[in-house]
Amino acid sequence: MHSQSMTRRIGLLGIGVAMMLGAAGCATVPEGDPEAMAAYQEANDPLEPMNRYFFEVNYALDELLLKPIAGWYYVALPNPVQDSIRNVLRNIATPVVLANDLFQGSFDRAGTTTMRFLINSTAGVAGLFDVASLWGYAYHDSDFGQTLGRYGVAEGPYLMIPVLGPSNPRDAAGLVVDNYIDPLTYIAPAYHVGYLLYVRAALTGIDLRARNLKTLDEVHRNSLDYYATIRSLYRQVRNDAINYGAPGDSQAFPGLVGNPDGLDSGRTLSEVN
Amino acid sequence: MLVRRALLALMLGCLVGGTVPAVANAADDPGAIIASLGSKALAEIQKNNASRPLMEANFRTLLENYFDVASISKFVLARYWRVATEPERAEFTKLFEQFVVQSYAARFAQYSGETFKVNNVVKGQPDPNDAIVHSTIEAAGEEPVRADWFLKQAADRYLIVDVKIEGVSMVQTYRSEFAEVIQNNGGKVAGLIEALRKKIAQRGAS
Repeated sequence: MHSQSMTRRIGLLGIGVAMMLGAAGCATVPEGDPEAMAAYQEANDPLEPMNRYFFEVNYALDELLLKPIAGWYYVALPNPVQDSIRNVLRNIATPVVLANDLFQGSFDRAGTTTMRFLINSTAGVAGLFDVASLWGYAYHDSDFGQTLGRYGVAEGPYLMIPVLGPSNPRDAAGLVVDNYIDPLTYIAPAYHVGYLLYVRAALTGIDLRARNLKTLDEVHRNSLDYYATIRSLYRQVRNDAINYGAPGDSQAFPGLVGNPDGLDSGRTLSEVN
Repeated sequence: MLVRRALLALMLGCLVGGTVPAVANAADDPGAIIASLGSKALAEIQKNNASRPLMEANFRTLLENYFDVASISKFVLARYWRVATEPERAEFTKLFEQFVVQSYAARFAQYSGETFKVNNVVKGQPDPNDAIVHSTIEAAGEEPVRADWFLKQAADRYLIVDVKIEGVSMVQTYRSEFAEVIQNNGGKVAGLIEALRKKIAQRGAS
């Protein structure tokens, strides 16, 4: 039953996203000016007014709720405890990561994920300690949005999803799929501990936020347009995940590995001059 | 004795520095440049961090010694560099540098315990004058941070034109943000210049 309500929630989210895509809140398309048009396409954010609205909502929620909780979490718990919480969360998430490693055809990474699970579940005492990292099996994340990206699925327009934060249709769809393939989605309700799914979701959010307290404050303080900076950071982080962290392109070195995401116009310095 | 020690240092350098030859002249070895940025240059600015003006002055020197600020200014303005007037370009370059110095001076002055490890150097791609230095920044008890440095050979030495930390490019981030600010100011570069000036004044006062 819990699984059903979860599914329904996500189904509703999908409908909401579809409605957002089709409905109001569209930015005006600049016409005539080629520079403005190029900038508009590069931002790939046709729903910007609506996205900015939800960004403000999420920002307020963060200030009121998530940031204070994450702050307490960061201050109250000793670092090793925080690390152990993250290690357990990562260990529990192994099936989703492994499935996506395999979907991506990356047997190397699937092997690493498997070894990490075996080592950390045993020598790492049920995932509390990340022994595998010390033995050369470093952690990596994998998700279905990334899988789609590796198969060349475009990200689509930028989306700021209420509560969940920055995303796009590709990654939002990935989130739904990851939820479906996660055994815990079915196991927890079967044992009448469906609430554990929410505990895990909350802990994952708090842990992530706690690790970025200083960074996000700094980004906010140092940006002229916080919304635009977060949008850019989100895209770059996702593209980095899709490229498995290969350094790829730099704006300063255009055209190094092509431009699969269509993010920038790929102009060279001589063209700019 | 001295020779033996030098040889030992050379061997250690080869072992520790991976593919970076220890004998190379720092000016034309991108790996050595990044290594020296991580050790010597940071130590230099950390010695003298008594006040904010001092920290900023030190960081500005480091920035100008290691980074190609003029090129970076062009890259971040991108298509708007073409439509900007000469005075606007000059003003932007000046303010942008000030903006970067304000953003990072304090942080770099407080760095401690981090070590730069140069892992790999790729030279001559995609352009003969280009080089990419892959490094990791490591600190005890933290997961290592990936830093990829993009350098271009200028007249006599390599200068950094971009850095990607965990896949996030400094140039790309500024570029997207500045394009947005210009868009929201009717496509005028003057709007960005005004916004930078305001931000700098606001931070300078705080």
